[in-house]
Amino acid sequence: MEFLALIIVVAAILILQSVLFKKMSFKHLTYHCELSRDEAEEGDQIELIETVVNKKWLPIPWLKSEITTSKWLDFAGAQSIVTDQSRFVPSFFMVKSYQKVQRKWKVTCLKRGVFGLQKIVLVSTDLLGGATLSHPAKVDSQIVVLPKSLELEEVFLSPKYLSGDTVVKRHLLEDPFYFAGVREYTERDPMNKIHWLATAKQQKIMVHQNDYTSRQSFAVILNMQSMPYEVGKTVFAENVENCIRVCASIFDRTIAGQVPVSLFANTSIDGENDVISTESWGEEHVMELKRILAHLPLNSTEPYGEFLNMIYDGVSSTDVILVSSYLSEEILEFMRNKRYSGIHVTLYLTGFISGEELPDDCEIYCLADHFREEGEPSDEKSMVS
Amino acid sequence: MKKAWFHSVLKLLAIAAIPLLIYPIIDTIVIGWKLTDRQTPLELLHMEGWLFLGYGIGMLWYWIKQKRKKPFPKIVDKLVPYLGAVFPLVGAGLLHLTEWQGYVACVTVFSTILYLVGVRMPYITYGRILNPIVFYMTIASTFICFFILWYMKGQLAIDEKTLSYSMTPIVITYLIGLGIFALVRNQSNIDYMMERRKHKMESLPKKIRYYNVMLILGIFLLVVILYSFKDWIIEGVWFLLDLLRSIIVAIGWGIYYLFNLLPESEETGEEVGMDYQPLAPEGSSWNDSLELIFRLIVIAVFVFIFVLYGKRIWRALLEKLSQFKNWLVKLLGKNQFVKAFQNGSDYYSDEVSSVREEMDQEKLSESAKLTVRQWKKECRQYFKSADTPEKLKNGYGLLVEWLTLKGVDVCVSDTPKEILQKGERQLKPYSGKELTGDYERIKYHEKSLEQQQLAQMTSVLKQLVQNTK
Repeated sequence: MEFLALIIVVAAILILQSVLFKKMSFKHLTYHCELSRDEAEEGDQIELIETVVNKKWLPIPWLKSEITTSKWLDFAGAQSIVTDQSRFVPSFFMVKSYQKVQRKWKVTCLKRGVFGLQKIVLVSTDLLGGATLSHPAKVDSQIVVLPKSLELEEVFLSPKYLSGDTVVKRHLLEDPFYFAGVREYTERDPMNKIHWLATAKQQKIMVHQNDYTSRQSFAVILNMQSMPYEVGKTVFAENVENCIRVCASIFDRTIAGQVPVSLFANTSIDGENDVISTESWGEEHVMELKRILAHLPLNSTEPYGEFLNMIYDGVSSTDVILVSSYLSEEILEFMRNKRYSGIHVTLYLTGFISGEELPDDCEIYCLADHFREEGEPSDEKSMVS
Repeated sequence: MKKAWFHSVLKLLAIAAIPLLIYPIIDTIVIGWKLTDRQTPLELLHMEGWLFLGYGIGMLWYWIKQKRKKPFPKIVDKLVPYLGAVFPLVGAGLLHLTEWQGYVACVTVFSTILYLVGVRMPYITYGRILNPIVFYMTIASTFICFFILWYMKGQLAIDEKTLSYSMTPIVITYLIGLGIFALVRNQSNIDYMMERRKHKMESLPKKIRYYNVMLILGIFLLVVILYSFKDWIIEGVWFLLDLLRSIIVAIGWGIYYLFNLLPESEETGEEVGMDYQPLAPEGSSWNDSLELIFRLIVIAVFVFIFVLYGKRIWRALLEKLSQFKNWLVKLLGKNQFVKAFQNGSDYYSDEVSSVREEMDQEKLSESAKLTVRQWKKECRQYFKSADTPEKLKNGYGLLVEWLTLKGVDVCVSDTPKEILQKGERQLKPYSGKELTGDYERIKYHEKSLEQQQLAQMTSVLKQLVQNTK
């Protein structure tokens, strides 16, 4: 009977522990997972914070949270499993009675875009492996990773140096608010321009001299095609990502000078309209443009040449900057036409190009790594005849 | 899976647990031949020895195969470790030279089987060595052994002192074997949960295994503590068996009396079962029947009390347990409220803290919150109170409390008009505007109370009490 008593005690405890863990493992257990920031830049380090709170006497001897997120949020190193577009990270906890565990993972944002936690599943078990329990956790955390700016002077070079006389746009009208000094009165000057103090001094009639000014503004036109005749999804994604970074660099430069800037891109975020932003200035506007860049999908809605023709008349800024992975005749034609209208046009190329393909009459900057001198073997063709 | 040192320890423990769990079988063999179990512990040691010898030779052979570049022929690979069976075959005989031939044969066969099992152990994981099937089989074999001995006792008509087990060694060895089984099951479950999704073992925090071992030890202690009440458990088992017997007897008696009520059978001319008293042992008296009836009455009373007051008794019991638990926590109370920061790994950092304080605060604020039951109690007191201007103000207060119960966010600084605005939807069917106006006139303009106003307030509150659940 003693042995029977032992068996009864053992059986009762085994059954009790199994039932207890089955019924109560996820009761009074809260799990929360969030990213420490809503916005960051490429390369920034943020934190992924997991909080597990056990508000009951029953401990959780083994708890696993299976986190599924984008592969562009790099954390957990060798512990993570990376597939096509996702990253799976198992996170193991041991939570005692009435205990809270907060785990902070160091996360690096590898690429611009909008990323979030896709799925989290909690898995637990009892002490002897009699029961395995799983429970999905609610996820609603998201981060917008903005593109990183480049040091354009370091990364880009201008193989063809434009020298000699430069055509300067001359305005018909003087700026009445800009005073450059005083000069002698001429018959054509109106009476209200007379500078009486200077006249008394000089003992001859002197007038205010106004100079010619022009308010600078930038229009950045981004090409989401990585090569000509590309339809839909971008093939050479890295070249287009570099284009986006160039745009971000240009936007950053306008902040200090409070220069109005706008963005045009031959892609769509909402699936309907091409990306055409308003022209404005300031840090807020630049941040807004960067957020637009972060949301840009890697595909194009129409060929760049067609897009340039479509927006030709709508671009009225003093400076136009084209950012593209390749060079084509349509781009050169656009540049030349705009130049003849008195608008300063620059092209930033992120794809492979050789010196012989570059025209002499256009201002073009190439990525130093992707430029080859005349006669060097080519890796990639970017010019279309 | 990269093996850690503790896997090797667990494997050795699992191997050592096998003879412990089959101790009753060894005991039965010894008692069956020698009529006393004084030699059983020694035999147990012999069995452990043969098992570990087999394991050692199996490991050595495994190591030799790993070192050798060319694999051995299959026959050689299979046979060589088994050749070592000559050790138990000869050794067991040598160790029992002075014993009966039959006994020597039994022991030799048993030792050889254990040796051969040991030889296979290098190829089996520790989790599979002590799996649940092995555990259930040892329990079943133990009961079979008890039955065999009981049968032999009956057949050989031997007295109680001989041919009987000493339960203490059996229980001790079984407890140790059980503890090892629980430990092995727990750790192999962790390994399984990691391996099934191909997780790296390095990513498992080291403290998890340690904490699980502590929990298993805790459960083991609980088994030992509960086992110390074995006499009560045995009494309880006997009581339940007796109760079951009583219930069956009562049912039998019931059927018997029902049969008695039936008319005589016309065909056979026999009376139905008047002399037959089912399930009653020979020589049972009227006293036994009284005892049975008394027991049934007691059971019925217990059931009645349980149904009526069961919840209250359960709540009181839980409260006492909670107090005992809090007392125990205070007594043991290590670092319950201390925040501890732990560095997790290269990829993350952990911060561990207790939530007891937070929960205590929550409990306090919950208990301070108004409940529907309390509000209804206050309303009942309001209805009984005398008709004074204060009564209208109190009634308005109850109205505002009802709004907070309904989830309206009423602040202390809110004016009656603001409260009316916030609770517009809830107060609309109950002429909230008028009630608010009456309250304002009494409170701010010090107008005299009109019976109609009080009656309206009382009527609204009565409706609210009825409609609120």
